[in-house]
Amino acid sequence: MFKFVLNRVFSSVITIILIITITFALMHSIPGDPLTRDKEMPEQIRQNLMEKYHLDEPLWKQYFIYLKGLATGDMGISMKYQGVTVNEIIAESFPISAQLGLVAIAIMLLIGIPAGIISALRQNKWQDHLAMFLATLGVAIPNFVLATLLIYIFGVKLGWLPTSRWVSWKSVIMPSIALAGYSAAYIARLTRSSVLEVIQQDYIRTAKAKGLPERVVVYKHALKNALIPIVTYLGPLTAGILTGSFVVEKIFAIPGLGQYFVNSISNRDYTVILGVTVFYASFLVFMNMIVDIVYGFIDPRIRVGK
Amino acid sequence: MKKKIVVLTVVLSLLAAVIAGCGGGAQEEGAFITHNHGEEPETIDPALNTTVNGGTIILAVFEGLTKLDEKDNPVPGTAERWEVSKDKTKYTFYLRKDAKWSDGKPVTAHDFAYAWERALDPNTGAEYAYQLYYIKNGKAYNKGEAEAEDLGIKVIDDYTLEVQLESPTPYFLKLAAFPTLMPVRKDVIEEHGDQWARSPETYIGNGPFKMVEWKNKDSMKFVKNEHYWNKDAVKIDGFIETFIAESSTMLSAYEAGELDIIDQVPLEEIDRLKKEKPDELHITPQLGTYYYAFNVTKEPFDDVRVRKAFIYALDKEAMVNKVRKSGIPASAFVPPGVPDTGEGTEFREVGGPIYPTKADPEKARQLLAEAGYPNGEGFPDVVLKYNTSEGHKKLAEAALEMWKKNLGIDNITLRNEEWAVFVNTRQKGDFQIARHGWLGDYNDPMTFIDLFTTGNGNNDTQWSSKEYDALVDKIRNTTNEEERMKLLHQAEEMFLEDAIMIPVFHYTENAMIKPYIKNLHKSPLGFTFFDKAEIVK
Repeated sequence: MFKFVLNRVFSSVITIILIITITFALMHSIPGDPLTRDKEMPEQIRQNLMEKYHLDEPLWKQYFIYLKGLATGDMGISMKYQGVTVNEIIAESFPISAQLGLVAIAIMLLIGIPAGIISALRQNKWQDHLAMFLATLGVAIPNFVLATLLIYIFGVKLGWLPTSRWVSWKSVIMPSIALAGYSAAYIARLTRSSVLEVIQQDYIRTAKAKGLPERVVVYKHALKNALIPIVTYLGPLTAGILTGSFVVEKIFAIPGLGQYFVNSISNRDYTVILGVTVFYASFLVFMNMIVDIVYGFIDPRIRVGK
Repeated sequence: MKKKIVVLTVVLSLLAAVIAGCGGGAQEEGAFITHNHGEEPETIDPALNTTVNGGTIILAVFEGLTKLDEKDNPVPGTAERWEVSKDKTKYTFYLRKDAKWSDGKPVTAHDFAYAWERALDPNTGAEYAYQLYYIKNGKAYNKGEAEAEDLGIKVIDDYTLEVQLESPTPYFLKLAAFPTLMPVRKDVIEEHGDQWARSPETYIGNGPFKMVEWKNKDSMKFVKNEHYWNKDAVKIDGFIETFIAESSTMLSAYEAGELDIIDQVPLEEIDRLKKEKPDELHITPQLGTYYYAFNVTKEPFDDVRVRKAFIYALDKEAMVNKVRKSGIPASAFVPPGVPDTGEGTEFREVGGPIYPTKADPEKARQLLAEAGYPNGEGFPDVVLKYNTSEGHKKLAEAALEMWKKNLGIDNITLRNEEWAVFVNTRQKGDFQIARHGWLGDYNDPMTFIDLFTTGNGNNDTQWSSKEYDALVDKIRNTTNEEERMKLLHQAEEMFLEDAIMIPVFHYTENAMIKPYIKNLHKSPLGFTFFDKAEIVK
């Protein structure tokens, strides 16, 4: 197990360095730079700013300056927002995205898994049809449509919840539902098909034949195996959701990390692009590692390191 | 079973903790106005700011030598009076002695001298430094060709500032009220560096309000500055700037009563708002023009007849009224709202229309035929470029349709590019026709006229006329206001006669303001002033 973890950590570091290199190359290859403005700035001022951000150095040098900073935990200063460091940006916006994400994940699990189990066990009965109808709807409706609808009903018409921003505990409700909608539906469908597959297995028949009550068969024997595809799906999903969803954060004007993802690219804010990407990549790699380890607990057959 | 209950309790309480941890703060007590700012400002350092919305904050926290009144005329601000030399190149400002910074220290002429010198200092890297190029040696110093001592800024004593200009600049008093020219504190900036304009403790101003909170990506809060010399005139306790970037979300928040003022609405909602909330929707002209720039060096637009044919074939009224639903159809480049010489006159009214706002297909076809393309036959392939946005796309499609119908040209294609790519394309002149827009920096025709001089970084049309450059130079050195205005009209006619672009419409601001907000001043330059605003419920 130890050797496995060590191995994974090593390959993770390589992955992240590769990601940095590719991101660095890509962002410098697209036209425009952090100093691109609607109103063109005088040459001298441009020159001064280039020097300030080391943009006048050769690319390889910029690359190593960045890596050197990163090794000491310094992700540099934003080239767009004056006097703000990338570390500050992540430190302030990630907790918000994470809070929102945790609630969204809780919603999707608490709704998705039970709905999937119920419709599998009541296959082709009305419970199944209803759950799958809602799930299809959930997968089909894009989150921005759901978000706009929620804002209109609960924010503008009924006035129960704040329409936007991050002002009180009520602020989390609508965005987390909008964020969870698609995945809850997806998980329900995934759970359903997975449970259906599992309950047709021989060992379930054996369990039933032994006269075990249905509850025990489902929860003790079937569910554990049926959850494997969901865990696989959850790993990267959690990373994505915790680091924020750009669309939902933008619609609800939530000051989370997701907004920086896209904005930094259109701003060509090089340090922020890299910082956010490195952060997200590390998170993703880490979550994948967790999933691999969790597998071992759910399914002894794929226990790692053996 | 017990174990499960324990696990469930732990999970639920964790979730409750997460939810309880979300957000913070409650609705404001007292007379506060909530104004949506839009995208969070990159900086609110007066020297470094380039945005209109950043300007709204700076003009609330600082006060220049002059400030703008309701009609955008300069009136005494921190300077209680001034003298102008006979040749109109030397201004002597006398500062009021009761002006104080928000930490109680007196405002002196040194603060202005320092702020201007700092904005011009090449090491500051201020994009808007050119707003100070009117000061003697301002440009030279900013380019590293002169020393700070050579600048035409002289502190006579603590309360007297003498400014020597490069040439007579009739709008200098208006410029003195522009965000870039606000005074700043040397001691604070030297101690805190770049960071000074980020935190309420160090963002010290001399204006009617002071910042008390900046929540990243969410909002800023400002309260009345008790040290402001004219604090009794300030009626509200303060204001809040929120950073909602989506226009549909802004409108929802406004309609739900969470915001008092929004500066834009989704264009597709304008018709509904006109019907439902006519008293709250304020459509006012903005000093800006949306246009299509021709690259006059590229075929087929190197022929003025082709350019004119394209102008006459476009129905700007339909584009504004049917497609965009907002704006004022343009008949020339300088927008309405820019004053002319006489009291209350406007440059646009005096100058009149130069091109019709409706299409003139006959004339268009005739011009095109003269250029050698009767009914569009043999016309080369043309690409119209615009930056990716639904709004620009709709307008470009409408234009395409009109050119096809009125000129018979059907080999025009549209190409959209992402913003930063597009800006590059345009600056390099890598286009035949491109969408463009220009917002004035100050309320004088000059901000629209000098745009098309040779070497101006924003003259993307690649048009270059020695005659025009000489005319603009002459305007800069003309002291007689009537004569100057006449020359400005002449200049506008000159580049429009050469048809280097198609003025499509003038921007308007479509703001929503709650009826209980009174005496709020919105300038055509886009700034919102809260210093005289009141809440009457």
